[in-house]
Order: sequence, then structure tokens, then C-alpha cells
Amino acid sequence: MFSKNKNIKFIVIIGCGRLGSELALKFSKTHNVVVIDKNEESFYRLSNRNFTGFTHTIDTTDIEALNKMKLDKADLVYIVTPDDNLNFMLAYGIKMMKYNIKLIARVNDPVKKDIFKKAGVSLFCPIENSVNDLVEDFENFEGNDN
Amino acid sequence: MSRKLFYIFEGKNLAFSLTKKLLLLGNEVFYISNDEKNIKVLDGLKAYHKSLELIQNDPTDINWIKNLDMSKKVGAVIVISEDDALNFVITWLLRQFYEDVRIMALVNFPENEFMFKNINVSTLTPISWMEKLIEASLNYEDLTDFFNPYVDKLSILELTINEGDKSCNKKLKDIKLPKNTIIGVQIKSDGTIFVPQGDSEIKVEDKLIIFSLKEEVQATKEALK
Repeated sequence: MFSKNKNIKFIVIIGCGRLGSELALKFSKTHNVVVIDKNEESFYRLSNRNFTGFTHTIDTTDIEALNKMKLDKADLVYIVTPDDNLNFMLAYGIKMMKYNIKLIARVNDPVKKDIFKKAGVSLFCPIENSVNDLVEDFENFEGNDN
Repeated sequence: MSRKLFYIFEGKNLAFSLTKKLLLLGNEVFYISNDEKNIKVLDGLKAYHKSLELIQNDPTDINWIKNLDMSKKVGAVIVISEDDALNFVITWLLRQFYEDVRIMALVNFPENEFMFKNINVSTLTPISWMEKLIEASLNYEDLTDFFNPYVDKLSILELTINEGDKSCNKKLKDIKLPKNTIIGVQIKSDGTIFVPQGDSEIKVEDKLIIFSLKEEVQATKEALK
């Protein structure tokens, strides 16, 4: 029981769209989760689905307001809004204020990955990941066929 | 002003006015936007100005930014969309490839300014300017601070002298002004304008433009009116 508690992490998720809400639901089963979105209505995706974390309505374009959320206490910050430019600016701004923070940014357009890489921002690209999965499945399927 | 090349990224009406101004001053302008509508707004200028190039392209395209022609004499790169995040990505990318170019960005939300400054980008923050102007005009309604970039410390007053005012019919050297205050310009009722000396006499209906530190404004008024 105690050793399990040690593994509980504090995770902040910025953006509660389809991806952010699913991420929050999954993490909240085993970790402490805070979800932030500028639109309170976005949190409907979490209601009635056993979400056990916290939600905060903050203008996600207001970096000062985000800074007040004590992001430095987080073990991990996910920035998953649908706007790549905003994700980049937030990642850069948060890193500037809290140098050692661990954060991962979503990149919606695979073409934009290079910008994040150039700035040394950890990223994940759902579209690219899906394409890779599909191609892998296809290749396995083809392999089985032969 | 020698002919220079200006890059303007995004922006609608502001981009139009700025481009027009720079072209009239004899410069070359490259305007870049991802939005066809924006390009159309500036298209009318092309009829009169051959030195305007309109480019529809994604301004966050890293390979395109990398290959911009900066070999000419670039006056500045000016990024003026209404989206701070877009402005930040564009200016950040530009700064990665062009260390010495002067880059200016519109910052719509003053809270974001520090990030732009961190990458050595000059910021234009209309909201901060307006705040200062409104604050100043609320405090002293006869301030003419519109083009005063030091409005939070320095006040520029315009006072009209009436019959019976303390300074009326007096020479400048005979008026005791508070510290850090100077009468910079005297405008006579017939419109003649000059910088007054100690022997200049202040007459009824003269307008005085006075430079004063903010805390001395009240004392200045009391000394003259």
C-alpha cells in the first residue's frame, strides 16, 4: 500500500478537449490530476465518468494566471490544446518561469514538430502516432497474409 | 531615409496602413500572410507601388523562414497578427536564423511581453499604452501625452494663459517654477510658435507646452495659473 502511494504523481493537464479529457480520466485513476481549460463547459467531458481530480477554469492564453497554479509542484505538465502555436508559446513561457519543470506538448500538425524539437520541448504528435500504428498494423496484416 | 526592405507578417488594417506608409517613404515591403483575405486587403496597394510583394505562405514554415532573403538592407521584420501565440512562434523562428535583424512584434496581451523580450524582440503593446493614457487623462485632463513614451514619469502639459493668471504679462525668468519643470514651447494666439527664453514674456491667450515630472504637475499649474 505504502510503496504504491509513492508512485502517485501530481499531473497537470492544460486543455480539456477530447485528448485532454481522456488523458485526465485515465491518469486520475492512479494519480492526482488537475485539468485546466479556458472554457468551463469543456469539463462536461469529465462529468459522470468517475473523474476524481480537480478542474480549474483559467484563460490558457494568460501565462501569468497559469503561473499562479504552482505548476512547479507538478511532476509532469501536459499541454494539449488544439492550437500548436499556443502549445509552443505556453511550453516556452512555462519553461522560462520554471526552468526544471517537466512538460510535454501536443503537436497537432506533424510539420510543426521541428519547431518544438529546435526549442528542445518534449512533444508527442497524435496524428503521426496514429499513422505509424496504422501502417504497422497494415504491415503485420500483410505479413500474416503471406 | 535610405531605401530599406521591411518584412511585415500578418495583420489586416494595421498591416495595410503600415505598408502604405513604408512604401510612401520609398521602402520595399514584403507582406506575408497565410490568409488569402489579408492578402486581398493589401492587393490594392500594388497598383501604385511596384516595390510591394505579397506572399501567401504559412509564416511558421520553418524551411521557408530559413530561406528568406535577408541579404538586402532590412529595416525591420514586423509581426502584427492579433494572435500572440502566432506572433511568438514566427518571431522565435526568425530569431533562430537571423540573430542581428531588428524584429518587432505586436503583443496583444501585456502578460506575454516577457517572452518576446527574452528572445530580443521589440514589443508593441497597445493595451499598456492605452491604459497609461487613460490613467493620465483621468488624473489631469489637460495633458497632451499621446506621443509621450515616458508617460508614467514625464508629463507634457498644455496650458492656456488667461487674464489674471499668475504668469500673465510676466517674463519667464520672473516665474518660479517647481524643480524638474521646463516651459518647452510657447504658442502665441496668432499661431506663431517658439521656444521661450528667460526674457520671453507670457501674454494673455498664449499656450504653453510644459515638460514636468509627474509629481510636479500640480505645483506647476499653481505657479502659472
